[in-house]
Parts: sequence; C-alpha cells; structure tokens
Amino acid sequence: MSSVHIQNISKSFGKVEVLKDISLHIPDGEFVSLVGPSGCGKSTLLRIVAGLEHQSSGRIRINEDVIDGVRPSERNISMVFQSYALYPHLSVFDNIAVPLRMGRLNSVQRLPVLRHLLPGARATEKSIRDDVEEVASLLDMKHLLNRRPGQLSGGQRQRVAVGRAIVREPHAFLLDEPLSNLDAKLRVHMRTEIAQLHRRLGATFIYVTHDQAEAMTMSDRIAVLMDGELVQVGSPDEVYNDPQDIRVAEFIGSPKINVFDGEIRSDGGVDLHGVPTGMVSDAQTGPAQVGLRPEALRLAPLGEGLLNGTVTHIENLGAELMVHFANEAMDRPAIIRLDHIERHGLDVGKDIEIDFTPGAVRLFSAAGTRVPTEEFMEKQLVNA
Amino acid sequence: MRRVHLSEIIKQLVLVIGAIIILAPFYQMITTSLKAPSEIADGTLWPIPREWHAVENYTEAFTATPLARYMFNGVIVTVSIFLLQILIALPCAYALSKLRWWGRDVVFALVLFCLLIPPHAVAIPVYVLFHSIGILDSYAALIVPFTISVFGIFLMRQFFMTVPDDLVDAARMDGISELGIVWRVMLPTALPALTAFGIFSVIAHWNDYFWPLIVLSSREYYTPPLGISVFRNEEFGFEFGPLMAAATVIIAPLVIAFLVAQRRFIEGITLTGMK
Repeated sequence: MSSVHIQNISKSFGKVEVLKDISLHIPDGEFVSLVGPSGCGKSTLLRIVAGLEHQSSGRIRINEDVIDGVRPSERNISMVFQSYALYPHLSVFDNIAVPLRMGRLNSVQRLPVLRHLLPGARATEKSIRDDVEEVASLLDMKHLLNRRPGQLSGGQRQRVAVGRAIVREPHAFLLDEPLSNLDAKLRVHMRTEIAQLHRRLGATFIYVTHDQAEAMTMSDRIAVLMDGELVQVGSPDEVYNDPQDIRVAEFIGSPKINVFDGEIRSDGGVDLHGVPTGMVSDAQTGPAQVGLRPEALRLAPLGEGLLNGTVTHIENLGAELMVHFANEAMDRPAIIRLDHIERHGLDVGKDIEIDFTPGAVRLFSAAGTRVPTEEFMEKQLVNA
Repeated sequence: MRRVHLSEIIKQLVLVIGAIIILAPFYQMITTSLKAPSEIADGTLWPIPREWHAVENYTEAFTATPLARYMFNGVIVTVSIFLLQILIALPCAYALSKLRWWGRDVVFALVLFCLLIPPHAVAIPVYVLFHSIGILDSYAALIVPFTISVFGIFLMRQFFMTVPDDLVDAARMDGISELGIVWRVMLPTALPALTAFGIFSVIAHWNDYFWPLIVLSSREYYTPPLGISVFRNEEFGFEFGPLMAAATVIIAPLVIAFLVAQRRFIEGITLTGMK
C-alpha cells in the first residue's frame, strides 16, 4: 500500500482552466474524499491520478515514484466508475479476472484456443481462479460469478466493479461517484459497506463525490474543491465546524448553513442585522457575513431573542423539525433545526424569536473568507 | 368484439399491397422454376404446375453450368470482403469515436463525404489501376475495391458513440491495449450493429453484377449473378425453367441468413445494443 502525492497539478482544456495548482498529500491507508459541486474539477483530478488524463503541469507521485507519463495500467491503481463500466459480454467471473489475465498472462497465453495447450498457462489460470473466488467471497457474491452484468441489479453491479478493482491489490483505489446511480436506500447501505471495506483492506482510497453526506460519513479527510481550486482539506469535523471559506460552509452540511448580513463595528464587535452577537474580531471593519448552522439556533422566550421572524414553512422529519423563518431584513428564509418535542404551538405564520450561543458564530468577510473571532466576555477578562 | 378502426384497415391494406408487389417476382421465379417449358410459355399464374418439372429444372441448373462453383466463388468473395471490412472499419470507427486527436472532425467529415461518391464513378479509374498492377480477372480484383467500407466505418462509429467512455477507460485501467480494446471490448459490445452491417455487406456483394462483369473474363471466378447471365445469354436462350431454378438457388442463402440474423439485424438498425 502506498501514499499518493499530488503536487501543483494544473489542467486546462483549451482556454478553460479546470484545475488550478492543486497540491494534496494522501498518506498510506487514508480515505480521502474529493467533494465539490459538479464541474469543480474533482473527476478530472481523479482521472489525472489514474493516468486517463494528462495534467498541464505538476507532478503525481506514488510513494517516491513519479508516475507522470506512466500508462494507467502500469501505475497499479484501480478505479471504480460511476457507470460501473463492466464488460457486458463477460460473466462476473471473467469481468473480475480481466485485470489479472492482462497482468499475469502474455499475449499468446490469452489466445482463445491455444492457451489450453501452453505449459504454465494452466497453473496461472488456476491462481487467477483462486484470487477471483477469494474476492467474490469477500464481497459475498460467489453465487453471482456465472451471471452476466445484464442480469444483475445496480447494487450487485456495483459490487462486481469493486471486486474488479480490489482483485489485483493495487497501490490505491480511485472511486468516481460510485454510488450515484443507486437508489437512496441502497446508497446509504453501500456507504457503510465501502467504509468497512476500506477498514478491512487498510488501503489508500480516493473517493470523488458531489454528495457531502457521503464524504462526511466515510472519509478520514475531506478535500473540498471549488471552481478548480482546493479550498480546504481537513477531517469531516474540521470541515464542518471550522470552514475556512463561505463556499465550504455552504456546501458541507444539510440543511445548508444560514448566512446573515453582518458587520464588524469599529470597536471590533460583530453585529448580525445590527444586533451584537457577543463576538469580537480584529479584522477590518465593515460588512461581513455571519454563518450559523441550523442546529446552533434556538427558540427564545418572547422579548429575549436576538433575532425575530415569522415561520414560513415547517419540514417535519419525524425526530426533528426544520423550521424556516424570515423577516424583512433577510433576503431568504433561515432554517432552525428543532427536536420534535419543541414543536409545541409552532405553526406557519407564527412570530418567533431566535437565540444562539456566541461561540456558534462563524464569521466570513464580505468576499467569503473566514475571519477569526473571539467571545467578547473572554476578551474583557483578559483586558482586566 | 374488438373494434376495428378504418385507419387500421387502410394501414394493413397498404402493407398487403406493398408485400404483394415485392413478393410477386419471387412468386413468379419460384413457380416458374417448378414448371415445364410448355407451361411457362402459356404464361399462367396458377401456382401448382400441371406437370411437375422441378427435378429436371434444378438438375439442369446445376449440371449445365458449374453453379456450385459460382456459389463457392460468391462465398469466398463476400466472406473475404466482410472480414476485411471489419478489420479496417472497427479500428477506424474506434479512432473516430473514442480517441481524441487533432483533425478528427475533419477526417470524419471526409468519411461522410465519401458516402456520397457512387462506386460506379470510380469504377474506371480502379479498373485502370488494377490493369496496371495486373490483378484483373482474379479474386483480388473482386475483393480489394470493397475492403474499405465507408458506410461500415460510419455505422460502427455511430454505434461506438453510444458505448460509454467509462468502459474504454476501465479497459485501459485493466491493462488492455488500444487495439485490444477494439477487438476484446468494442467488438463484442457491437455485435448487433456488426450483424446489421454484415447483412448489408453480404447482400450487396453477393448480388453485385456490375463490378464482376467489368473485371472478370474467366468463368472460373464468376460470382452467382454472372453465372445466371451465362444461362440467359448463350446455350439456353429462353429456357426459363433452369434459369429460375438457378436464381432460386442463389437467392436461398441470403434469405436463410436474413431469417437467422433477423433479430440482431433489427437491434442493430435501431442501435439499441446496450444501456
């Protein structure tokens, strides 16, 4: 198993720059997700690592070896594709055996009839069969080996694609949105299965997805790409709780983080819609954006809230409620997440007041970069 | 009772009339091949011969000329043409659909342009060329001009466009070479389209009368349509019985091949090989 170093990779298609100076070090055995909205360049980056696409500049190393210009098959990396890309005319067994046959048999030994006559081919064929069967039992699909891909369900095809990827024990696994063709229920199930597979194999995984939930639930680290730039790399907790850019904050987390108009006053205090939040910042004074996660907001008793608004919509998810509310100062409704027991008397059209702890505030400049903040009280104590 | 719409009746009627017009010559051919010369001369359309003459007609067809030999030539020529067409069209179609290279669109436009050139327009230049390299009157003269099928390249390219790129990339990751991808991945997925193309190609070259007539002079290379012309022109004059028997015999393989491949043929034409 191996580490993957992505060093200053840039890629342009004609005049369009799809990747801008991306650097990312993925240590041995790590599960890294590349997430971002569609068109952010994440798949292109994966294809460059795979060798299916060539970078305009930069280097890719596996362990200490520079692999630029090395053919995809010789990089010893395997890839699982969104459409599974199984060979439709081959059985499941043969699909999984293809990478082994290509690697272990020479071109004469692969000939249809002649191969049975050659010495050595038989022993190799036996070793291939053993390896395929081992992978099949690992993925619990021994009973499917004789079927054709056309006779399998989406989840089973997915499993065959994974089997074909793991059978040759590669340096690293690349997965390109492997779950997006599955239905919602199966997707959640396969999420667990892939995470368990990673734990069992202890291999390096690079996982591309546009679904932040997949990235959050499976990864050791998440790399967020936006418009061809690597905006933030960190553990799921870091990316969720400590976003360095408003785009990261908005992309990670569902429902989306609430963003309010704010201001940094000349004395350093941070206001939200003109109300002090209890946070201070050393950053340049002027307009700013205040981010608050839906679960950071609470209902407050009348007269004690920091924000008020009217309920515009309630999404009932059973265990919890998403309450949308708005006031005239907000250009779009904000969302507050409540336990279902807090629903008491809440309904569309009702006026509510909202409260939050100052520590939950994530402050961003008007341009969207994160601005460091401190709680007001602590600062006073230090000064005193 | 099911209600039958007038429009449905008209539709069926048109189809029935069309079928009759198309099948009538075949009907005439087959019934004539079973009748005695006197009865043929009467010009009746009655299907059942008063006097069966089938054995005589068909024996005559096979003995008076080397009909079997002509059919063997036909098989050699059509099969060679088809195999060579595949050998050339598949890699071309792959390069035009799945590889990115400078000038690809221009080359594809040229391929489309070549579809517009009728084969008769280039017949004389090709004849002169073959004369100067000395391969007139041979199997090569019958086969070589048709090895590059522009239509085949176009048809296979269109089919390959529907094969997902991921499949090609997966094959590359698995270590299959580019030519290997053509034969081990694209060919098996393209079988329906290939069958359709095969039927077009085999029918066209089995029935071709024009080109063999130009390049051949020795009878040993004659293809079936030329073989029939031998019947008519020389020793038999207007002996329609054996002539029609020979025609039935040379058409039979095509009809059988079509019936066998029919399902794949229709799949290939609608280009729905895979999801």
